Amino acid sequence: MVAATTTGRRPDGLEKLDQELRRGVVVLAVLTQLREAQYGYSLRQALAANGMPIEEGTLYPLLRRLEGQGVLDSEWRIEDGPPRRYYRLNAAGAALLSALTISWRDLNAVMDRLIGEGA
Amino acid sequence: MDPMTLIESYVDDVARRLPRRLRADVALELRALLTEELAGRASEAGREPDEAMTLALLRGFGAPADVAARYRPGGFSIVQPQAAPGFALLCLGGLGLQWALTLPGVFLGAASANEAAVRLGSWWLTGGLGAFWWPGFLVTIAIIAGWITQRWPSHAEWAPRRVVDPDQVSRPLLSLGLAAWLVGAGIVLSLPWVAAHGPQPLARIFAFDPAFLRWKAIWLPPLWAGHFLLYAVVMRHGRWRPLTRRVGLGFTLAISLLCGWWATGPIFTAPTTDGLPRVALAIIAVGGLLGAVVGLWREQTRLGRAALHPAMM
Repeated sequence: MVAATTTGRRPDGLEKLDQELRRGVVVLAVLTQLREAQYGYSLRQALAANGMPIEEGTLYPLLRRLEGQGVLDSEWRIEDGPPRRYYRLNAAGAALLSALTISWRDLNAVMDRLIGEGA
Repeated sequence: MDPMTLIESYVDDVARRLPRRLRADVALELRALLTEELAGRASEAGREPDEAMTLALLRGFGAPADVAARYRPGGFSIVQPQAAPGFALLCLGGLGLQWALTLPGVFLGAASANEAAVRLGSWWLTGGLGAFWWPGFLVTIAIIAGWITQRWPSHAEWAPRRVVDPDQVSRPLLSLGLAAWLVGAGIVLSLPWVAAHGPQPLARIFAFDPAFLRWKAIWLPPLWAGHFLLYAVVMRHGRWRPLTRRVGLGFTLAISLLCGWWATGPIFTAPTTDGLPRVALAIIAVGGLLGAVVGLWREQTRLGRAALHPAMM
């Protein structure tokens, strides 16, 4: 995803722009991983393992906001460790995931076309 | 410091910035998550968590105020970013204006440096600090406006402003204005005669200075006549044209200068009668000159626009 110049040096501001690009898909990325119940730390690990690292300071509040928006359900569970709050998509969340997936695929196709034209 | 104490302190700092109903729940979750994060880092590093590792985790997580803001649902802005420069100018401009009006008096009436210092201290506790009512008032209004906008957002569609042709004149209104001007000019021009033939003590009170009538007043009738004629021409055309606009600016400038000249010397022989009209004339002169400057500037920008859109001329 990160391009380099012919001299190997990253262009000025690339990191910030790259972060902005990723920020736009954070919600979709999180929703994809919450078809099954996950708690914050395990979700972050799962995303990172799939090449989508998200800062903890961004991810944990986001889960709360998504819950507040009515697309996630949550519950406290005590299993093999300390109490953990597990999040999972509810019906509204599943509908949102479907809609965002369609939008993402459309956008991806458009961007592929645009990038292909310029390449 | 013990890692758990650090985490506890951090969680407290975040939680106290949250709405009361969220605090306990978010604190419990955040504490658990940070503890797991720290355990994960320690495991990767192959050593027990210590103070440095904990601080690095917490600092990377973000300042407590920022983290609390991420947990909060979106609030409302008191001043929108695009309005911030204008708002700041209004606040500071009003503050500066009040100080400019009250501060010179502190030094003008002081007999010595010591007295000036005492008066300055007194001013700061009254007019100086008191001027802050203005920014406070503006912020209060902005809070109310921001809350109303957030509570009842406007869904009105943008509509173009009504295009007004600034050069077009309303003939009926202009003819009324010219008639009123004639009446007013008749009254003003007959004042010397009325003052000379009026009953005492009015004749004495309103007696004109002979030098004023001989050298200064005589320029008013031709200027007014010319200006009146100009408006008659504009009424005939139904609009201002480049030439009439420029001639009009010339008349405004000339009449302003005449008023300024009048204000520099006696108009009436009685000093008590003479004061107020001269102040009024000085204000008219300044206002007229400012108007002429603005008119000239508009004429220049109009020329600039006309180069791009000739139809606007």
